[in-house]
Amino acid sequence: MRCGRILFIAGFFIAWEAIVSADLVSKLFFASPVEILHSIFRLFAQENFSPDLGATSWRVVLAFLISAGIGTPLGISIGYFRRAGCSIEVALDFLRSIPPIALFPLFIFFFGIGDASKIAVAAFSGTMIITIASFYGAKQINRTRLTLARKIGMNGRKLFLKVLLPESLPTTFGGYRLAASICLILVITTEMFLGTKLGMGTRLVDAHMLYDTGGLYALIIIAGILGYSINMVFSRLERKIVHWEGR
Amino acid sequence: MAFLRIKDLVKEFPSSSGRPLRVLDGINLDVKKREFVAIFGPNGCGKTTLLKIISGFEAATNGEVQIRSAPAEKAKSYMVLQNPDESLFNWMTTRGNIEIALNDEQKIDSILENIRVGGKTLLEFSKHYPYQLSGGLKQLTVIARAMAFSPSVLLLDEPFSSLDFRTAMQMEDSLLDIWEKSKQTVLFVSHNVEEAVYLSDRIVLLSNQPTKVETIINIELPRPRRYQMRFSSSFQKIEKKVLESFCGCG
Repeated sequence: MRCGRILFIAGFFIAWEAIVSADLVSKLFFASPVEILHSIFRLFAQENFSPDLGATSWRVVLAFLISAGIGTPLGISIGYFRRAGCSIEVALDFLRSIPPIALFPLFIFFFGIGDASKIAVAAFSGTMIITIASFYGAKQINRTRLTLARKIGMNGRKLFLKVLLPESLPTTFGGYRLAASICLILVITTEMFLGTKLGMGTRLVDAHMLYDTGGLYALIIIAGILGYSINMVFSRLERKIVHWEGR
Repeated sequence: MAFLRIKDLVKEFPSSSGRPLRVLDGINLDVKKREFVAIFGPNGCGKTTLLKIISGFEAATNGEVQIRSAPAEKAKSYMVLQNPDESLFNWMTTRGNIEIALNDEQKIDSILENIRVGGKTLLEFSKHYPYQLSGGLKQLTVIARAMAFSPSVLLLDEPFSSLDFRTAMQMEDSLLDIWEKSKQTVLFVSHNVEEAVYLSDRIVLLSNQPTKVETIINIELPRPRRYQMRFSSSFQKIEKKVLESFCGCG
């Protein structure tokens, strides 16, 4: 089974290499695996790509942290104070229906063409996602357990940190994962617009302008690996932090 | 004046027919300080509702509950629910689950040490999470939390009903042991005549819905109670009396 899979993958790449090398497809559209590997090597060894990767990652991390920092308490509060929650829910439903990238031009007015506007777009979307996830998490809180916690004297910050937050965390974590992926997408998208010096989006646009198909594929694959790694990190964290889930 | 006084307590729930469903229909009961009272009644007669009102989880429609001559919701009471999963926080260890009620490490240690089941103390499980514990240990953790909170009234709602016979008996002894040391006022809802007789000073028999107090039976058995007492003729006589009253009214 495993052997078969390796053979299949190897076969796929050999066939791909052969088709591109034999000029059966246009080299503008397709790069061969060897060429892509070479481009990846070139990016890091000769073209000083690491700062771009770093800049993109940094923006994603910052956007995510802002999203989680605002979205988690906001969502839990809306879910907890149900009556106030109802009216906010409508506003939230409208806001999250706005395609976040549509806000980018406006955010440039507010925050300039530097990092801030890119992070703001990603953080806006991430905040919406996390708010909604933790809102549903808080809505499902066991009311008996909550009353009991209050009866034994828990309130305010202690109640939030020890009861409300952990109670909603299993659902909120789903939002964290999704928000991190969306932040990556939006950061790369906004980097493709004007004036960005460093970033994967800039590199993608550059490769496109130069008809560097190998470079384009290399960047797409790196972006994929980055997205996949984010997912992996979150799934590990989830198992570790929300250890009680499903037990 | 009684320590805990339930006076003309009425509880109605809204129903689909529009006419409210009367569950408790004027309950009157006086409980002395440090008394162990068992509440026994048919299914659906509102035993849990009664405890929930006393502990302030629910409001009464009419009548009142007073603890030390003050409204019950102001008193320090703790209700042990039938299902420990509804009380325990899965993200806290046994110790953590108790610490939220009391911020005193040494006292918690001594509480954990004093709760025994099957030759082990709860202290050995202090770093376990609830999902790593058996049903009995979970319920003991809840009782330990109740002890740490040291309420003036401890309310227990069929706490051992989901346990097997043997474990339930061990738990009953653990509970009596804890109660002998703390001498708190206890209201214990039970489904099991033998358990009610074994544990309590008095058994309050409730009627069918709409529920009233049918009769109260004094349990004149010496304390501390021991397992062997269950086989004594006096025990069995009381058990018979309770059953007869119950069947007569049920």
